[in-house]
Amino acid sequence: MTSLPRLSFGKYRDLVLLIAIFIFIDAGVSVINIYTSHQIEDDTSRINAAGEMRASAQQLTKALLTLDMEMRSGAITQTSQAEISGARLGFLDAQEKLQKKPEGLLKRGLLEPEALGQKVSEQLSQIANTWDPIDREVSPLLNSETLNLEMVSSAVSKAVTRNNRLTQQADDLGLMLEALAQYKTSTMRTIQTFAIILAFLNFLFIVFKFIARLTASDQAAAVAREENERIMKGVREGLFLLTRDRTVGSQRSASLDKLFGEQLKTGENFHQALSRICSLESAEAAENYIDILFNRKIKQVLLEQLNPLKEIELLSGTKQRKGSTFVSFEFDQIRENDEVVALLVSVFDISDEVRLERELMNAESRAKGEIDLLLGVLDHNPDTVAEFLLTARRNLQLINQELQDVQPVGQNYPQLVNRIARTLHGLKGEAGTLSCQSICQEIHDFEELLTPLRGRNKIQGDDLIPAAVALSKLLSEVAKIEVIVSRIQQHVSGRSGDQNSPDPLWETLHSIEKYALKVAEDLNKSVRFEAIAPRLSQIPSSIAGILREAVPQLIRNAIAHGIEPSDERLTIGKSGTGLIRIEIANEADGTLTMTIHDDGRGISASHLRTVLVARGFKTPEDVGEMSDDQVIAMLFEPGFSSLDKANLHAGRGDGLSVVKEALREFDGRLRITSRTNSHTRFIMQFKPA
Amino acid sequence: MTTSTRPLNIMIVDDSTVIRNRISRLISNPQLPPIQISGLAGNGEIALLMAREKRPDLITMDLTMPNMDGEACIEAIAQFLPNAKILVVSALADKATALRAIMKGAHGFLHKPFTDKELIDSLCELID
Repeated sequence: MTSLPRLSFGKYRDLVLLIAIFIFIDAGVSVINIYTSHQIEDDTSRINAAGEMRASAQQLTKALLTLDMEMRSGAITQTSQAEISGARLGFLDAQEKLQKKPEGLLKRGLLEPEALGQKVSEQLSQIANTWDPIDREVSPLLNSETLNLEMVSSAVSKAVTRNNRLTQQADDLGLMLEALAQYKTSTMRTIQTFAIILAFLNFLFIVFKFIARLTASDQAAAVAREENERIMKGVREGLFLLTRDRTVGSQRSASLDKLFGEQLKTGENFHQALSRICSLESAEAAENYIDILFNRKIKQVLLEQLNPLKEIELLSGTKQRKGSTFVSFEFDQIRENDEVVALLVSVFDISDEVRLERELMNAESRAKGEIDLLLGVLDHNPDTVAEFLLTARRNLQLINQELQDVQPVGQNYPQLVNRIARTLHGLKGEAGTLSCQSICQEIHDFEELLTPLRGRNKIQGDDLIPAAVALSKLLSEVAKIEVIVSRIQQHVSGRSGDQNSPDPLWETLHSIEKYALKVAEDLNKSVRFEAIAPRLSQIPSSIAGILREAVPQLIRNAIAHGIEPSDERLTIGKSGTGLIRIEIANEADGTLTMTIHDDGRGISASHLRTVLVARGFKTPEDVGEMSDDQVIAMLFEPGFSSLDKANLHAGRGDGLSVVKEALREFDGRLRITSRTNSHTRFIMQFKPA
Repeated sequence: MTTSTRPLNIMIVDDSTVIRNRISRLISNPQLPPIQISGLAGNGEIALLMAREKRPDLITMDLTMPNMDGEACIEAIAQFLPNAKILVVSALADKATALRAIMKGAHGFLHKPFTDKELIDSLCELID
């Protein structure tokens, strides 16, 4: 700002000089004009004086003749005497005016040629010579006391003889003065004309200079503008300047409009624009960051680390294109006199890079998931896994059919949702025991999607669309694993035949153990697994079904709800590691008993009462009237869970309802025994087949 | 920033004794100019009183502390010790927190957990 006037003076110095010359010439012309008018006035008065001199001489002669006549006739009048006196004074006055030597250069006449001036002086002295004798005769006449005819006659003869000469001389003087005046006037006119021409030329030169300069700077500006436009059009980054008052500058690259369109306007407050473009947190952090960029001296390295707009996702609506847009803002400080006056902001579209990075990450985790799956499946009998996958596919296809056929009548939709939830939960348990983590995860996501629908009385057909999508994802996951498993099956059967196959029951129990340990790990709990079972050549179908469908739920339930975290166990004097035990026994009467035991906190009927009321299943009055057994039986109702928040393993409230269904299917009976802070036992009994 | 005749004074503010001891140990690293410890504080309030009395040249500052948190403490210290260089050493990893601390008057930011080299580099940059 401060350097601006000095700069422009330097640029326009010659123009200023020319204008000064122009003013100087103008002033000169004005001075000459004033001087000329004075001279003309002076010359006019001198020419007039010469005329006066002539007139006075004639008047004097005439008055003298009159006085002479009066004297001779004896009738003297004062009038003649007064006229003589007047004429004489008039002559003397004019003579004085003409004789008065002009003072100084100006008065003497700057432009008066010496010769002409000399001539005028000579003429004046001749006039004086002619006049003086007349004056000597006339002066005494003015005193009336000494007046006599002789004196008058003498004066008359003097005046008459000299009058003609005097008149002639005065005329000559007048002509001389006129000539002098004319000479001066013409000289002055020449000077004036010359000065005016000079001023005019100067003026033309100024105009020419000015136009030339304007044209040159216009051209330079046009070239600069054009270059600027080309840069702004061509540059890939979104570019603009951010001023100290946080306003978006007017020079902006075309890419900026492509990125933000109307969202980031010139002259707008940057923070306001940001709050539309990206998340509020990013916008707020950016406000602090920009303050720091303008006002604080911070190391460049740290500044780059702190940039909160290094990778931000644009809010939808900013730009219409497939997927999200990610951009990176970079800020360069522009300093003048060691003060940051503006920030050059460059915006890059990094969507492709971010997408690529994420795809890479996804691919990595997918590859890892597939390897885990492969390793997991290899741990189990491929036939068992294949059987599970077949069941899963059939069940899921059934759901798919139901989703297509269901009529929006009565409670059809809510009932279907509950049915789907139960099927999924059962499959999740089995998938878990068989280490099919990807299926578990897909089911978990599916369940998350169903949760908000459950407990709703009114469900629209549209609400089920996401469920159909999730179902097809799940089916494709199952199909993928089926392909892998069938290949493994081919390998295994081709290699080993079947002579050395392990005890199928123990193999299943081993799977359940692995599942229990996995659940415990996920829930951050420490668990020991025990199994007591007879050697069986063949697993009875009831036990196989229960092991597949009900046991995983009960195990999960025991770990999630029963077994306490290690530190809690230690404080109440238990071992830090919880115990889960499965006992399968053949009774004497041929019945099979299966017991799932845990040494956790037990089932507290009073806690369940509180939960039942809090979840709105029962009123306080209802639970007051219910027996402890009745309260515990509520555990087996669909949708009931005592956990506050669902995770992969518990809390959705379907586990025990699945057990109930399985028991019904295999005609089993269930007993529960429990002691607070000691244990819980689920005892299932089956009639012999 | 100063002639090396006078050792720099550092005040270490952190509610963890482990971190205080670790920083105390690292400041004698030969890469750093001579630094002497003028105070150790376990919370913002004590740090503020100590800073008034000892007027340290350097401060390492935790953000989450009892009594007075680091941000408030930085703001207060920056008022009366504008030349003191403050390095925030915090487990709060987001940029918004770092930016707020810098706004309040901090000069550098180091995330916990940090390596010995990271702390020494951060202190070097702070002093430089």
